[in-house]
Amino acid sequence: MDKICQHLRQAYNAIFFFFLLISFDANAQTQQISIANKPAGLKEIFSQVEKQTEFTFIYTRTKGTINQTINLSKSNYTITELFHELEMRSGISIRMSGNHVIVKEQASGILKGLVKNERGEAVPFATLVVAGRMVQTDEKGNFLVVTLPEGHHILTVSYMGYATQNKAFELKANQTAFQEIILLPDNKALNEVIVKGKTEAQKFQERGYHANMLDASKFNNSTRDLNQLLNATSGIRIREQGGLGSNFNFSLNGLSGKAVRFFIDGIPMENYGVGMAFNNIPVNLASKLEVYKGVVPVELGADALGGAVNMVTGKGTGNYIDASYSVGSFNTHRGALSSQYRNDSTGFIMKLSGFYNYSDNNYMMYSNPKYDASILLPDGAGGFEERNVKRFHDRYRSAMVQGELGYVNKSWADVFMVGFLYNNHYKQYQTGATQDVVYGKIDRRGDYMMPSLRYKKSNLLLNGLDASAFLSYGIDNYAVTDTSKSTFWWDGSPSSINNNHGEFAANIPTTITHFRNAFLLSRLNLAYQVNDLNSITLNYNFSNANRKSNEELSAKSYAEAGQSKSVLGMAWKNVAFNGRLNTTAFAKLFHFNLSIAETIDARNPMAAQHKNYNDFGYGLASRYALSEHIGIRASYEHAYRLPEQVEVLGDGVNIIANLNIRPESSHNLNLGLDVSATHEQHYYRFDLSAFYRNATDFIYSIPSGSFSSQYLNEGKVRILGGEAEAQYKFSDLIELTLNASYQRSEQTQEYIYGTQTRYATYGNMIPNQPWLFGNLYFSLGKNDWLGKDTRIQFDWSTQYLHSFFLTWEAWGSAQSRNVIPSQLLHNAGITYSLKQKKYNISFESRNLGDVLAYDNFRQQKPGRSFNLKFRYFIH
Amino acid sequence: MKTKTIKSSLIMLSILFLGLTFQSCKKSTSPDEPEIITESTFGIGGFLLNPSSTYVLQNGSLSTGEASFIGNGANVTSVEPGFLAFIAKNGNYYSYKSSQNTLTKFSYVNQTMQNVKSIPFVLANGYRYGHYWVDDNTLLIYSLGGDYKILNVESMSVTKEGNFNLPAKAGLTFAMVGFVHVKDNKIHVGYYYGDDNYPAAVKAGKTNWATGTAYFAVYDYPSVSNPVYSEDTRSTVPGNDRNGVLKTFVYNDDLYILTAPFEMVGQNWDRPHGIYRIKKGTSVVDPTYFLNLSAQLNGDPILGGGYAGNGKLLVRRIRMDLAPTWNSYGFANTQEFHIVDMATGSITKLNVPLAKSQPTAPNILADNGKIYFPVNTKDIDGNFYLYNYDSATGAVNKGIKINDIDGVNGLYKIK
Repeated sequence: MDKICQHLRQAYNAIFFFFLLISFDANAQTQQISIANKPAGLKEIFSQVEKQTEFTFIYTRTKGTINQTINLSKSNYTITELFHELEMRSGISIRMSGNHVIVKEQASGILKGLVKNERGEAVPFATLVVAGRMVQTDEKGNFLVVTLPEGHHILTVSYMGYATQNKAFELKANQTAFQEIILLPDNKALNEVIVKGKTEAQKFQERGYHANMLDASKFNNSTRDLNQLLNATSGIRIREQGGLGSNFNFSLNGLSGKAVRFFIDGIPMENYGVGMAFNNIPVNLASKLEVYKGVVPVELGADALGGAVNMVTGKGTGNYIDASYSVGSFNTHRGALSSQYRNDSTGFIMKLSGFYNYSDNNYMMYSNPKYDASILLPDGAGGFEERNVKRFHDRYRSAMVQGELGYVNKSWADVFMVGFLYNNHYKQYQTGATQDVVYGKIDRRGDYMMPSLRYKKSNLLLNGLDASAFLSYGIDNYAVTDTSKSTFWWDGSPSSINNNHGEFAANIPTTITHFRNAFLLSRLNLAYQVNDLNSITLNYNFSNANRKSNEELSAKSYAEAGQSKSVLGMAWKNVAFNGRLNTTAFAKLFHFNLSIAETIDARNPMAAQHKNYNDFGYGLASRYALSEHIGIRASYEHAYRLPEQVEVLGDGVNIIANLNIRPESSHNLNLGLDVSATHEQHYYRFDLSAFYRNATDFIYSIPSGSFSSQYLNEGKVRILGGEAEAQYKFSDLIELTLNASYQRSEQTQEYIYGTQTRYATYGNMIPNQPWLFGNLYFSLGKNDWLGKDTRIQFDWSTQYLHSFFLTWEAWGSAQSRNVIPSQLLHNAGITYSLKQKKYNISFESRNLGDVLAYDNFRQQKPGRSFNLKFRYFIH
Repeated sequence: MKTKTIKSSLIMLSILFLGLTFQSCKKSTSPDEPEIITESTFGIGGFLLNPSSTYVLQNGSLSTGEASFIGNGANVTSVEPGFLAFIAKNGNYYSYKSSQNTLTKFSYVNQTMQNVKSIPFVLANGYRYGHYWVDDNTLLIYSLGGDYKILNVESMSVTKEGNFNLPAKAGLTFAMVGFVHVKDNKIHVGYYYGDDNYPAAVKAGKTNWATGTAYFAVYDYPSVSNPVYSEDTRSTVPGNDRNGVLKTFVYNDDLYILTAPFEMVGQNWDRPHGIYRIKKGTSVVDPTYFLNLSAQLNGDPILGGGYAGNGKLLVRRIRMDLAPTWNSYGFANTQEFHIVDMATGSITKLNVPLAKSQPTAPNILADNGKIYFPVNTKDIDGNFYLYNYDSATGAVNKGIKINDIDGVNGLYKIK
């Protein structure tokens, strides 16, 4: 496979040379010149030209340069070709004037430097073009260009699988300029068909969004899943209820729940069914994660009130296999595969990826009366005793396989792929909303399948117009089973038997509820590069979801309901002030259509209904580069989350329709400052940002009748916060990242819904919300230490979460407040890689200090775990 | 040189991080104030909304002064049984949480609710339950489904348990217990049935659930045997299914029972709210007596009240003309308070403002001839008053002023 990659690189370089050559002035003199005696002195070459043509050479200020020897690349040239090559390679300037050719020395300097990849490793054989001259880096990533004319230049660096970089610099006469280039992986070609080629890593920040790009490849030897990776990011707090596969609440700059939207390669996660979530996707399937806080680009066509997270899959355009398996505490097994085969001559491409997760999640639950989280078991004498127990009904299993076949780089498509995805999951439920409520038999199982079609074409119909399209249809089948007539204590023994109800609640009979949801998704993205400074993007996203459910034991059917959403987004991107100011202005048009069939035999019978929503959102993201090292950012969006079908039309049984529901909306504003610098092998980065959210019309469910509930618009919140992140890297030896986030959410709903009754808590800080947290990441690695082509790397990460109150801080006596305690969790791992990271073995411990940690009141998280992971990666 | 740069960078970053971390650390205050000893002690249960949290504040009087929940009172959010329906007696609070199969005894110490003892406590269909104090040390707790346990609260031990074994009726739900009252060596049980098939709506949006019949069973006590059954169709849902909300009282040695076909409890729109009687010495509902309260109150429902002890009964009326939505019941000014004179059956409206509060909340307290009730109509500062009715004088007075809370859902006599 290494050989394949080498050939690919060579072919790529040849293509690059070819385009470079044909791009030269085609109207130049076409007379053929033949130059003998290579290598030859410059004067000798000019003399041969004089003999074969009518040109006369005039030499001025040439000093010694005219005597240098040039080894020409070939024997036969046109005049233009020859003069160009001589100019590039000798440092002289050659100008034709009639039959005269004026030759003079250029004032010049030297350019040298180093090309590295995102992991700080040297990139050998990268191609550099400057002032029309092309060189390659050596094996250590160094490059040298001598006698480069003085003045302003643009250095273009390219390497297969990485985003091409352009860097402007000024060279003064007789001086040496040093440039260090860091290349970032380019995953756009195959996977980001939704996004025009502007999302290369180095341009990510420049777009001005309040956003983070996480390099998932850095953690490929770790047993983390995506949530654990995201949880170490500033502004993000994920509150997990337990171990692998447990429910979680994802909060982004203080807004959570349905306010945050998730995507895989731009496809909304809700189209992947209930079995796939960021808490079960192994990190090996992702190459990077894009986190958009508050302001979301139109390419992710969704109604995201608080932001969005997009997982980008794929590991470059070449061939690769990334296969891993890990085994660890709580009988946890996790496997992941990500692979791609591509035949360059035919353009055929095949991708296969998948994962498997299994865990007993039987971690120890500790009785913790200090935080009002005791575990009590009957003592056999009519009382209770405190005990530590293992979880006994929390098994989780999920598996996914996805295959894609197609062609790339054909005349009719840059990318055309047909895919199929299947996943299957099984999950047991151990507790209700807190660990006081123990379940012993409830589970959920289901599967999901989705065929899909992907298409991308650059320069479609006209130059500069890139189009991409995606189409998928998914069917999600799952069932929630609550058939136990017993309830349980924490040791698994029954607490009551022969009940006439299930475990969920004593007023809910035993149930097996089947859900069958079908999702159609289509999206089209058009990006037009108007000129070097302006581009326009148009994104249209249409999805349709149909939901059916029935209750097997009571033979009750819920009314069939559907919802279709269209989101039309348009963005204008502009570059101004010599590239210093990057601005994106955008608008989004939402059209939702909700419907529900007639409900007859139920508590709340109603005729078939439907309702439409049309809303308009808009925003702006901008970054101004104060210098090469410092930039300031500002972004704003008037964001919406449109109501879902069930919120508006109810379910015909227990949830009553409310046709007056308004969308949730928010004014989101971000300000930021970023500073970065590279000095020799040191890299420094600092990012500071502040955010403001003013969200209103939250949609809540409240009781409406003894047996029914209804959704209402109630709740306003104002959030103010700030984040800081600092990073230091030294070559590929050390990396240190620190971040801290603070947020304050204020209750700004003044009156209780539909009344003139003022909330006593109006203007107070909303409780049960983490408000201060931070992360540290440190890695120390050394190449070739335990042998050639090996690397040993030690990773350490620490998460800190400041304690917070369950209830309103000012109310009640201080000593009676319920506290979710502070967490200081440490994770550590060591990885040994062989044969240039082809074989990797890692040993990792999470929650090294075995700390009792709670993200939620009375919901204990797992204690210390150990994992061993094997990974094979060839590319 | 390189080492120096690394070192200084590391130090700088660590300082930054630590600075951000510690900047927000707060000193926690722990006011360890001694409890004020008063002749009587009352508990006031207040709640906040979204996210909901609940508090109990103890005070020596409900008639005068003011009380604020800011920084005061025990936060009981994680221990209260729902709607602040604590059972309180002789200085202790009892909380039955059916989802956890646990009964806990608390004492109020240093403004915290301290756990005295928890015991396993399983009642089938205990998601709704009620209680009855047989004597000061003997507590009977029963579930909607008819399971009961009799408890010695001193030792927190169960002395008797069982099920009333009420008759099943084909096509209907299990028998749902609305009250239990022990009197004259008899245990009186009232019950009703729900119909999950929902008969045709009485009018648009108003479907009956409870059937139109009230059922009664009277057993020998303490054996809980030899039941005598009776039924009556003039009203339904004898008692109610909310712990601590007035269900029965004894006047002239006869047992009187309030009914609650109200939407929030039994949901029967055809039947009026009123009072049944089981006369002393009999074991069946008195066919000659039914005080139809709704008929005197424009058809409105009543739920909750307090019996002063001398034939004066305070009831809470819900003005249906002012309650267009479900939310109105709790948060709009829909409640009036009336005094029923048991001797004459006449009803007198008390001169207090229209009030709001959860009608299903146990927040009306009768004590020593007075009845205390919250009129949660907030003044311009967002504060409100507990009023009281003095059965001896017939006067209604504005009592303690309650500050900084969304409402009062519980009132308890502690000692």
